[in-house]
Order: sequence, then structure tokens, then C-alpha cells
Amino acid sequence: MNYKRELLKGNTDALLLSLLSSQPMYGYQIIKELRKRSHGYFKFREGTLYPALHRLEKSGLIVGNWERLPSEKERRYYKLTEAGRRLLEEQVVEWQGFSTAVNLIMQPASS
Amino acid sequence: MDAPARRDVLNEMRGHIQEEVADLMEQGYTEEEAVRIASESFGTLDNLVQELNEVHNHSNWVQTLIAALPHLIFALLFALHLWSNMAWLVIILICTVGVTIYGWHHNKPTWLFTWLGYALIPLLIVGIFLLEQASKADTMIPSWLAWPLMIVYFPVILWFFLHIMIQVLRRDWLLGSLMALPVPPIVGWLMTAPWKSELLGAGTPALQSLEPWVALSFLTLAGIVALFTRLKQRPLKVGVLLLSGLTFLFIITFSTGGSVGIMTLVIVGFMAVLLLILPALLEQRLARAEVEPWHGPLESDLELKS
Repeated sequence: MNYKRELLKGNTDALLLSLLSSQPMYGYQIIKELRKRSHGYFKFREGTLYPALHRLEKSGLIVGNWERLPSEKERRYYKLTEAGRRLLEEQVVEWQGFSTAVNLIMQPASS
Repeated sequence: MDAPARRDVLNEMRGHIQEEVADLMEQGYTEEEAVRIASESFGTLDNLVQELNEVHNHSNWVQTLIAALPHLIFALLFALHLWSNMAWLVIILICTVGVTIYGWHHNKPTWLFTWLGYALIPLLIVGIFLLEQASKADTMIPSWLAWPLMIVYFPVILWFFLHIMIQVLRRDWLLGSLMALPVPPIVGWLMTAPWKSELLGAGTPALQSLEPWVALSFLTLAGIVALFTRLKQRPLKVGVLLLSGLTFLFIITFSTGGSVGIMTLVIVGFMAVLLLILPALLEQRLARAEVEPWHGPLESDLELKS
């Protein structure tokens, strides 16, 4: 089992919600932004991203809207809904508690 | 996945690949290399398609109930001895056609296809009626009129069926099989019950003993459809449709105390398998016959099923 992959899989939704809380983004931008903000640690594959985005949209946590660019191309921007924002707040609190507890056990000297 | 959702997904993926290709070319890659890298970044397309289908095909319980409703109505018709009541049949027919037309013009959701199957059955029955009228003397319609009617009716109906079937198969062959689900039970019971001459008449004691079993077979179909719409994985959906044929064969055998002819069982069993396989074969032929509008790295491989 790939531990990093499993960790990422379990937190995909939270990462996406967190990213979209700052501003609406489109798929390719999300991948680049995740890579940039994590200093290359998160390399999301498109095959993971789009099903996750569409699942979040179906659940009413984000909403996607097409926007036409000056170049006549269209992009689908995703933004957080109110339900998504509430869930993110819960998940942030949960994650802070979890990571603190893990650190207390895994790095007792530094905590 | 319905047509607008499929179009959205393909546009989104295409836009993504185009932007990634443009970025990679700016970094010094050739167009060929850039397209290859961008396509590979999507991983295994089969997995992507499967996951997107699972997201978009997931029906909620209300949609599941609507999909199972026509089978439940037919189960009730037989359970409550109302199957020969012309008023009820007409009301149900009007409702079925109305719901079908509504669904057809509102993105063809999965639940539509069970209603569509029932909405088409009366057209077949009218065809059989005309055939009977043309081949017998002393019928409601004189044979000199029945033959021309039949000659006009059958090509029109055949064209109509083909038109509908092509539309359905463009979505997904599994929906074609879902649509044809009531056909084996209807044919099976017509072949089994000795009541063909008194189909809509009163006093059909021979059928009364079979009524609960007919109701049970339609109730089973309702359960099969509910399972079909709730399941996410295609192999399981295929398995559930196959199960419906086996279950019906069991019901028909059990209800007649094993006296049903082996030929009837073979015909019904063959028909159940055929109705599952035929749409798949037709879909393959249809896909080969149609020219792909855009041969990008996605469309050549990404066939999004509904």
C-alpha cells in the first residue's frame, strides 16, 4: 500500500474545498495551484481531480459555472457553496485536532 | 450520463488538455510531446470514465422509485384483478405516454427508459391485432382494409422503433436492455396462460390462479430496476439484468407446477439473453458507423457511457 497515496485519497475533498475557499478556480488551475502551494508535494492527476470535483458538485458542496474568455474559449470555474464552506470549517477543526494528536505521538520531543 | 453532462465533461477535458499542451509547448516541448504528456497526465482513461460514470449515474431514491414505478403499477394491476379493466388500462397508458414524453424532452434521465419500454408495448399490440385481423375472417376490420393498414403501419412503426433505439443506444446499450425488460415476462405469460382468446373479457378463471405470479414477476422487475439504478458499477448492472431473466424463468416454472413446456422456457430464456446482448451489438455497429467529430487525444478513447 502506498501510504502517501492513501493519505492524499483520504484528504482530497478537504484539499479541494480549502483551495476553492480562496477563489473560484478551473481544473487545470487547481492542479497547478496545489502543486505550487505544496512546493511540489501534491501532484494531483487529472484522473483523480475531475471525478472528485464532479462528486463534490453533485453533493452540493461546490458549483461549477462556464465562463467565456476574451479568446472565446470557455473554462469551467468551480466555487464553494455555503454548504461547502460549512463542511470545510468542520474539516479544518477536525484536521487540526487530528494532526496535533498525531504529532504528540509521533514527535513527542518536539511537541 | 445525459447528453448535456457528457458535452460539459468533454469540453472541460478538452479545454484542460489544450491549456496544458500550450503550457508545455511554451516550455520547449514539441506539439507531439506536449500532447502525449498532457494525455498521459489523465492516467488510465478507463478508470477516469468509470469514475465519472459512477458520479453522474448515481440516482437518488426518488429517481429509483420513479424508475421502478411502471413495473409496480403493472404488479398492482394483476394483484388487484384490474388488468382487464379497460378504464384503468387507458388511464395508465395515457400516464405512461405522458411521463415518457416529459422524460424524453428533459435530458432523458435513467428512469425514463423503464417508462419508454411500457409506452412502446401498445404499438406492438396494435401490430399483432392488425395481423390477426388481416389473417382471419369475420373480424372487426374487413381484410380489404386490414392489409393496406398493415402495409402502412409496420414500416412506420419499424422506422419509429429504430429511431428510438438509435437514440437510446447513443446513450448506453444498457438502457436499451433496461427498456426491453418487460418483454420476456409479457411474452412468457402470453405463451403460458390459456387466456389469449379472452384477453380483455370477464370471467377468466384460468388466469386467476396465475394473477399473483404475474404480479410477482412485475414486482421482481421493479426490484431489479431499483437495484440497477442504485448500483454504480457496470458489471453489476449487467449481472442484475441477467438475473431478471433467470428469476422470471424460475417464477414461470414454479407457478405452473413445472407443467410449462420446455419450448416456452427456451424461447423466453433465449429472448431474455438476446434482449441483453442485442443492444450491446447494435451499439458497437452504431459506434463504428458514426464518424467521430473530433479526433483529439480524449475523444478517441473517452467514450462516456450514461
